[in-house]
Amino acid sequence: MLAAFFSLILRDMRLGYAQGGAAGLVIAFYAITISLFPFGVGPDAEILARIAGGVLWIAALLAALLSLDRMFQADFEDGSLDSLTLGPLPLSLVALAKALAHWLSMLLPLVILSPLFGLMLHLDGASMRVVLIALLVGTPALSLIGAAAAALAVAVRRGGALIALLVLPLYIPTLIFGVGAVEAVSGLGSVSANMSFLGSLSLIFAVLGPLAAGGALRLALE
Amino acid sequence: MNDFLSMGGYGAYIWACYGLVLIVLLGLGIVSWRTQKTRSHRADALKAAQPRRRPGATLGTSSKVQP
Amino acid sequence: MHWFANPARFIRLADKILPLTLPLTVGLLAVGLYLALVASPADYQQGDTVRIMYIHVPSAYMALFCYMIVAAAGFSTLVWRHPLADVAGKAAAPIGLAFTGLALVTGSLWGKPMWGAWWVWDARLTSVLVLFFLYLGYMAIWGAFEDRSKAARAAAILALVGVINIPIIKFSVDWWTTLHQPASLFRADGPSIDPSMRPPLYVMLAAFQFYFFTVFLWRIKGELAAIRLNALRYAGEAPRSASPKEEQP
Repeated sequence: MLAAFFSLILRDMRLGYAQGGAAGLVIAFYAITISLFPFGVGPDAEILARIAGGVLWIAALLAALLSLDRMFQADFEDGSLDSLTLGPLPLSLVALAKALAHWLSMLLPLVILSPLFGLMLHLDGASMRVVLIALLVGTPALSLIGAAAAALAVAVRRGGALIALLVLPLYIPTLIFGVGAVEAVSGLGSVSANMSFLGSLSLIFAVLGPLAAGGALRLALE
Repeated sequence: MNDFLSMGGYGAYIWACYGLVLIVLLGLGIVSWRTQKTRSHRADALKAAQPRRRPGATLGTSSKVQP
Repeated sequence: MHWFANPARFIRLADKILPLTLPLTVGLLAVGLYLALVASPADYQQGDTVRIMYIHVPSAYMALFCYMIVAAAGFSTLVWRHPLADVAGKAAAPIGLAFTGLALVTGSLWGKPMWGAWWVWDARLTSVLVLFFLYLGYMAIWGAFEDRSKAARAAAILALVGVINIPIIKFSVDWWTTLHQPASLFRADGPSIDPSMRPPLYVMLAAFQFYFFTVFLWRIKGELAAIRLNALRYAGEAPRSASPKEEQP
């Protein structure tokens, strides 16, 4: 069962980077979204540094959103989701594996690249470290919540736009604590408290997200 | 009376609030009442009409008999 | 057709309850409005704007109450497959959305004279705004499916995910506002409320509650009639046309 779980993760990651995979696209989207902000608010270094944490987080949220509808859609259309139900994994674990693969292939590269964009937004070193750790701890929640919404959208069939409506309100706590951790560096609250809330969100949704996604997938396959 | 309407200078806000609440609640109530009324009338009418449209139908299997 | 036995009995029950709740709603609303607008004193600090509280707070309360109904309905859809549960969830959601919208707008109209701004990112307003989005998502799910029973279960899953999230969202938004805002200028609701403000508030709460039950029953009846109509149409037209027209509420 464990072997099936990990091979599913590997398979999905491979697909993410294969030709036509979305991983490269998502990174490009992340970069472009961030570079829009200086155009929107002006190139003033002080303002950019002030909002950098929020910008990086919101760009990550949108990038996650962009890549969500691929999580189950392709597998559903070509029937591999059906064959997965015959395997040893219950659907909720299939969803967990796919969410982890989504995080590893789509969001982890963004997290690793984020210091680069932080630099462009004049974020100082101490804040940058915190942003990096906060993204690392918090973005799994984005994939896990996203799995539930993506699965619901697959069941709907024309669910592309629906995902955004379902998922973004649920992302708000992650956004708040993620940005909170960054702002705590400059004295507004405590970094560790925000970090531990981020971590607990990821853990809560590691249970809740796959459970809901499993139920929704069962609907989709009926 | 004027005092009552002006509400200590905040009349516009207060009356807008109460007006809006009443309009929305009334509207939702009327729409809900009317849909259930028309729908159940339509369902009753349809039910009354169906056996007559298909004279050969026997009870219970009526849906499978061609008109 | 034993499936229909339950809804039919429910409709008979609803027809017995409605003649009670409708006059109660109207009566309580009339008394509540009188108390709120005429018989209660203006606040020494906020002046007459405090009267907005008497509809704002009940609206916000009903917004949450309706979500609890939606979530409970979702739970019994998924766990017990109760045939009336999904109907109840679908019926309650638009009422909840209406109350949520009213809570937002009345909050905004209260904020303008009090805070000097139409919108303040205050913890309560922000949480209610998120609740508004949750309702939109729930109703969008209902609208997106062609298959009714699938829509019911998908919406139920979303409602349950949402209801677990409500405390998390509330907590995070509280956390966020204490971080970003000096403590609120005043706390209008809460235990420190003046005794003279209690009667109008409680009467309005009761009025809104009975309004909910009345409209809720109407909407359930409407939903059940739509289901019955579909079944009848399907039975009547299926041999002739391949796709029976859905009754879209």
